[in-house]
Amino acid sequence: MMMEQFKQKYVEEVNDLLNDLEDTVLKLETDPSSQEGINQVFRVMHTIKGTAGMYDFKIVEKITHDVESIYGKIRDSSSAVSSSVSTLTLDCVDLIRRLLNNGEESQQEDVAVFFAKLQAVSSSNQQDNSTLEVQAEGFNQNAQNSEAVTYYVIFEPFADINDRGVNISGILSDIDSAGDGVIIPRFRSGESDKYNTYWEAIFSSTKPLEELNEIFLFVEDESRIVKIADRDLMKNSDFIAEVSRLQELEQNYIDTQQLIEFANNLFEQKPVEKVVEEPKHDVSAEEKIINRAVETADTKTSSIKVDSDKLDELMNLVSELVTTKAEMMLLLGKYNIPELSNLCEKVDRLSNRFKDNALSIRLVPIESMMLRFQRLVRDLSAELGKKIDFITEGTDTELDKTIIDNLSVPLMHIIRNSVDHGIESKERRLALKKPEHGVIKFTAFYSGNNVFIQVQDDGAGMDPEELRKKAIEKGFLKPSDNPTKRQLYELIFQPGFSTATKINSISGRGVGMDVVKQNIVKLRGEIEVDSEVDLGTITTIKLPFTLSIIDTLLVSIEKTLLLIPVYMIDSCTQISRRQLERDNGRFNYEDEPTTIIDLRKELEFKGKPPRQENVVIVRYKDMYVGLIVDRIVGEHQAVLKSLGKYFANQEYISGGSILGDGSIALVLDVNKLIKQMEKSDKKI
Amino acid sequence: MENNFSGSQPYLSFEIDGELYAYRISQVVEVIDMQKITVIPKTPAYIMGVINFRGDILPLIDIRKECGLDCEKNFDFKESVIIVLEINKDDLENRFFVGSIVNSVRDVIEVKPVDILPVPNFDNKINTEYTEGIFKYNDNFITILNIPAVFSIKKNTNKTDY
Repeated sequence: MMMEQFKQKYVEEVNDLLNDLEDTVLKLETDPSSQEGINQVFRVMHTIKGTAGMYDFKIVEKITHDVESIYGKIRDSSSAVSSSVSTLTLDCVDLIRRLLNNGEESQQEDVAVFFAKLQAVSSSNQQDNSTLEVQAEGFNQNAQNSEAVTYYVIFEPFADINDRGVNISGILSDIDSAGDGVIIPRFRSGESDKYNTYWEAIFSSTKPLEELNEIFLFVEDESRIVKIADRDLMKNSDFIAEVSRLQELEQNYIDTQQLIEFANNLFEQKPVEKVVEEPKHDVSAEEKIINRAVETADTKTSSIKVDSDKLDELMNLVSELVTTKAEMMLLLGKYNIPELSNLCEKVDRLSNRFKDNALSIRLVPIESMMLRFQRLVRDLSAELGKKIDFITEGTDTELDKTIIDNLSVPLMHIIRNSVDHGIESKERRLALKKPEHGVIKFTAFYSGNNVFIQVQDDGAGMDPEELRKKAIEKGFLKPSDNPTKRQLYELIFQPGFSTATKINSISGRGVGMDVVKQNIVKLRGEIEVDSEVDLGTITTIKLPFTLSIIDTLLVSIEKTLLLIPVYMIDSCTQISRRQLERDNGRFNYEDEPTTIIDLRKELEFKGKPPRQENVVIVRYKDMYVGLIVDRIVGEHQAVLKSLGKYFANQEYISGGSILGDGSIALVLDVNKLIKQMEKSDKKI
Repeated sequence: MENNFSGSQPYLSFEIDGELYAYRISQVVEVIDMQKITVIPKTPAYIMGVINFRGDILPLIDIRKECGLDCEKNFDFKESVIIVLEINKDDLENRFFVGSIVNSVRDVIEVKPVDILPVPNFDNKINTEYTEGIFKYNDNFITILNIPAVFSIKKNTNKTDY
């Protein structure tokens, strides 16, 4: 069970590393001789390899080992990364992902294909002088016997060890699985008869000495086993600290005599004498271990990973705080205690800042998903034989994690469309006197309370006339209809309306723009397409910043409280019921006839309407719509709560929010409401 | 997962319109007093509205309307209580809470599986698809309601989650 958890952690970690790696390889493609990039790949391979064996990912270990040596050679010879190597590396990334996620057994065919490719790439310089630096700080879970013995092992190979065909990593993994402990790799230079690396290990084991000796059967003269104590000391923190201390001393080997003495003292209950020889540096042992861990993993600690459940919990607490604050303000208004009002204002300010802060934690830059798009464009354009530059702008724009998570699939689809259908073939582009390279531009920016994302290509564009024909053919339009260009482009979001004339492995697999739109709408976003024949297509997505807190106007009909998002509201005005009835629902706003929706009627409220009605004017697309309500209560910062699965089909209410006094207000889904009206009433 | 044939199981009995019913106690979260109900416009009749349950929004269900029982009388708001249930407890994706309004809560009763009988068909007060069985307690018959069947949201959302 424990092991499974560690394994899970390892897989997660490797997935992160692979994402970084992909990025690095793509950068290497533009600058193939970047030492930094090459080192980076080398290090990542090394790190993955280091622990793969421990979790029984033998194939991953082998793959990373081989790719590491390729990069090792490139590094040592200061040459550049060829395109075949970078492709191989990307293949390697994909393969490792599959191996880790699906298990090693399932991918045998892919593995064989990969190794064939690898063979081809590395055959040019095949003189394996692999620098083995397996740093296996492995802990074997099996040895938990009280009769365990603590050993010290030194394994110091001669220089010709590789020529003799001895498998160094095999010996190391044998040591690792012999017991519970640490293996410390050491490096040397200047001794020509010795191999450039040697290993010291300290571990506890229940295995008899003879069995341990068997590990070193072929390297007897190059190894030595020393018994430190007749018990398991690897769980003794004093002992571990002593090992670290001795290891850091500038000596070639750990002084076993000193270690044995230390171990003896430990169990004679004598107070441990102050060590005579002070460590060379002032850094404590723990710190060194941490430092080493940091170096090994090559992680940059500018960010930390947090379980998303914890973030959700934080958001819940914040929303409760905001609600409680509102409750307090309510009480203050009732009793008006001057001493308290100052304090309340402070709490108000603080909780606002706290709320903003907590929200910002959930915000993730769009950059975090760009990698897969870059990869998509690269792979797809190669497959289709097109040359495409993928330009990104404003990818530091931040969005709520939930939105980002749900955005990548629709965006993937849009970009795929641009590569596949947008950008024309090379020949066609040249014939049109367009540059050979197509351009797909990805732009993200803030505007007001929204984030906009645009995907623009300079490809063929969509012909509105063709769309019209197709729409009539498929029954979406009547031949007599005279739609605007915009309405025609809207059609591509209709289910069952696909413009793909040929179906290939990439586009037209049934998931159409209608699904893209559904996904965007679910995020309270909007999507729009514009196009110009032979100039290209631009898709614009408008999204809210966050899904959890919005500013709203609190209104009421009868006793029901409703919330209207402030960003949609233009203004509020009043109208008498009598005037409303006399004018038969016609209403002018800013001297323009404006559609009004009587929410009382629309939401089927019973009871008598008030004489004086309030009208909330909201913006919808490029027009105004008036919503009639009984009363306007005031502004409310709404922490949105889902109404739950029972109300998934509710047409006009998108959620609820709890007010200061504990009552529930319902969030009006203005867009859906108006759209519904549009459908049922063609006059709008 | 819930079929424990060996030992007895606790059930919470309650009364609606003079009839006794019971919920498996493992799915009962707590029993709360009647709260201010917020009615949601344009929802089916069996959804009475939503209430504020510990800062979250809880749908409130009238199982009489859900299960096709006669319901001439409305609930007396002063007397009624709400049993909060957790549905699909073991399925994190589809787990949700719901409130069931009842006239009053009676006892927690340990019932052995052998004592649970099938609901007779002629007793057509309640559709048998909503029941798990019936047992006798202190000279009264108590109908065990099948919580997943009663609170299935399949028919409300046209989803085929179940």
